Amino acid sequence: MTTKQADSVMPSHTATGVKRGWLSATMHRWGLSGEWLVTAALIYIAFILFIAVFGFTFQPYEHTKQDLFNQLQPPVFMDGGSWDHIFGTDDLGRDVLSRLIKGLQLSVLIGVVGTVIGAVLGSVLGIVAAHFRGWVEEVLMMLVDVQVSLPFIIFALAVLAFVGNSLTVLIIVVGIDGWERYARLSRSMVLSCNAQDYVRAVRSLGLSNYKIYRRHVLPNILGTLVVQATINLPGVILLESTLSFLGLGVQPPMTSLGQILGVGRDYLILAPWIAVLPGMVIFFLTLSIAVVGDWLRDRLDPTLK
Amino acid sequence: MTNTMEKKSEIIMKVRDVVCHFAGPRTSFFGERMIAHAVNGVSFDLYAGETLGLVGESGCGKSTLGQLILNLIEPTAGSVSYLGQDITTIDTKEWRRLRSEMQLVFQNPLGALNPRLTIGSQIREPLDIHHVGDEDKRDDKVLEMIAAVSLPPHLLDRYPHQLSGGQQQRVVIARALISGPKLVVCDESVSALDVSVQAQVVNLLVDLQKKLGLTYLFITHDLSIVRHISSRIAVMYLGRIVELADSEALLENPMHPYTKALISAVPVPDPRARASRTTITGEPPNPFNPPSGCAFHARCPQADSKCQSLIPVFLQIDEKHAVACHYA
Repeated sequence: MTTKQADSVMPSHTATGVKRGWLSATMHRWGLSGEWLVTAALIYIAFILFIAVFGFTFQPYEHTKQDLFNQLQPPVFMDGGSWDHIFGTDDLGRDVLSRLIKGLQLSVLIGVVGTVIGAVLGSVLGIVAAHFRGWVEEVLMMLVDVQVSLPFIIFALAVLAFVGNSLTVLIIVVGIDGWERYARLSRSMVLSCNAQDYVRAVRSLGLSNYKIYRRHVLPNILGTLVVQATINLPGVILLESTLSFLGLGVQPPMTSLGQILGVGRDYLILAPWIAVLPGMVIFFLTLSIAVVGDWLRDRLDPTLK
Repeated sequence: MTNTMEKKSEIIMKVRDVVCHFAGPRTSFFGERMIAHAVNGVSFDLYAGETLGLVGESGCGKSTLGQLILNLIEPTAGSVSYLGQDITTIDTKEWRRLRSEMQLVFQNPLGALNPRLTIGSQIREPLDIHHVGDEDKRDDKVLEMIAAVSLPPHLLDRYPHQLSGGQQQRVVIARALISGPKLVVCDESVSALDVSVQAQVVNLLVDLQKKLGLTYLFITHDLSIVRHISSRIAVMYLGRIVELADSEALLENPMHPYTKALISAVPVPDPRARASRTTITGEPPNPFNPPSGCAFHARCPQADSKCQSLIPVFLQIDEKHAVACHYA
C-alpha cells in the first residue's frame, strides 16, 4: 500500500539530501511514511496508556474527594471556570480531571484484560474444534451459535445479577464477549491452513502436531487474530461503559469512564462537561484502536511488504 | 533405461491389493453414506533406483495412491511394505522415523512453502525434525543442498514469494531430499511450471537420482514428461492400474485401449501425422458409482457384453508388460 509512495518519495529525499523533520524521520523509521492518521492514532493510544499507568502521579485530587461548596463548577475554558479544577467538578464537587484519570485506569484495565481473555479463550476453542473435528467441533460450534443468537447485554446483565458484582466477575463477563468471533475465525483459518500444502508437507516430514501448530499454523493466523482483537477491543471498552452506565458495571467508590458518563447524563444540560469529556476520550480511543488495527492488518501480511 | 528393470534390482516397495475408500455424502437424510472408490485394488512393485511414471486423468486416484504409498493416508484394505516391512500397521514412532526415508514433492511449490519462514529455515527443517547431525553443522548441509539444486546461497534469507516458480520448486526438492530419503513421490511436481522451467526441473530430478540413488514415483497427467523420465510407466483408470510396462514397450506397443487413446492424444509436432488417432468419448465415470465389469467399457471402442459384466484380470503378458483388458 505504501510502497508506491515510498518509492516516489525516497529517491528525491536521498538525491537532494533534504532533511526530514524529527517527526517525519521517526515515522519513516517505523514504516509510517505518509500515514498521518495512523501516527496520530498511535500517539493518542500511547498517551492514553501513559495516563492509565502513570496518571496517579499527577492526579490533582483524590477522585472521591467531595467539595460540596464547589458543585458543578465549569472547566477552565468555560465561563466561570478556574484553574483549581481544570475540567470542572461534578454534582458532588469532585474534580472531573482526577475522576477521568482514575476512570481511564480501570477502563483500560478492563478493556485490555477482557480482550485478552476473549481472544485466548475463543482462539483456543476454535483451534481445538478445527483439530479434532467430529463431535468436538459440532458441540463447540453449537455453543458459538447459541452465543451469537443471545443478545450479549442481556446475558451480561443476567450473570451480573445472579453472580453478584465484583471487578473480577465484570472483567470475565466483558472478556467472554466476542469469544465466538475468535472461535469462528480461528477455526476456519486453521481448517484452511491445515489443508495448505505447506502444512501437509511438514506433516509428511514427520513434524509433531504441537510443533506444526506452533511453527506453521499459529504464525499464519496470528495476524488476523490480532486484527480481530483490535476490532474487538473498542467493543469491550464500550460494553464496560454500557454496563457501568446501566449501573451494573463498576461500582462506587471505584470509577470508570462509562460510570462517569452514566452519572453525567443527569446533568447533560446543566453541566455537559461531566459526560462529554469521558465520552470524547472513549470515542477517540475506540477510533484510534480501529485505525491502528486496520494498519496492522496490512503490516502483518508478509506478502504485502 | 531398461537396465533398472533387471529382476536383480531390490524391491523397495511392494504394494498388494490396496483399496482406499472415502466416505462421501449420505444418499438421503437417513440413508447410508456414499463410498468413493478412490483406489480399488492396486498391486505393483517399485524397484530401487527406478522411476515409475504413474499417469491417468484427474480423479483416477493417482494422488491418493501416492499418499497411500507414503502412508500419509491409511488404506481401507491391502498392504504396503517398504523394504519388507508392512508400513500400514506400524506405530507412530516408527512412522515418524520413516518420514526421513520417503518424501513427497508437491504440485504447487508456492503453496508447499510456509510464507512466513525463510527459505533457509524451511530447507533445514527436516534436519531439525529428525535430529540429523550436529546442530551447528546443519547449516553447512543446507548450503550443500541448495548448491545441489543449483540455487545461489543468498536466496536462503529470502521468503518464498520473492522467488520464481522454478526456484520455489527447487527449494521444495531441496527440502524433500535433505534428510536423505530413498523414495520420493513427485505428485504432479512440474505441472504448475512453465514448459522451459519444467525441463530444467525434470533434468535436475534425473541428475539428483543418479547422484543420490533415489527411487521416484512420478505422478503426472503429462505423457511427454513421463516418456522422458520414467523407466516404467503405469496407467491408471478409475482406481485401478490398467497397464504397466517398460516405458518403451508401453509407448511403442500400448495394449489397453485407454492407453492407446492417451498416447494418441499427445500432440505430435508433424502436421501430416494425424491420420491414425484413437479417440475416446464421454466423461470419466463417477467414483461414487463405478460401472460394472471393466470400468472403461462405456468409453471403449472395443467393448462388448463381456466387458460390461466381467472385471478383467491384471495379467502379465510378457516379462515387461502387464495389462487388464479382455482383448489385449
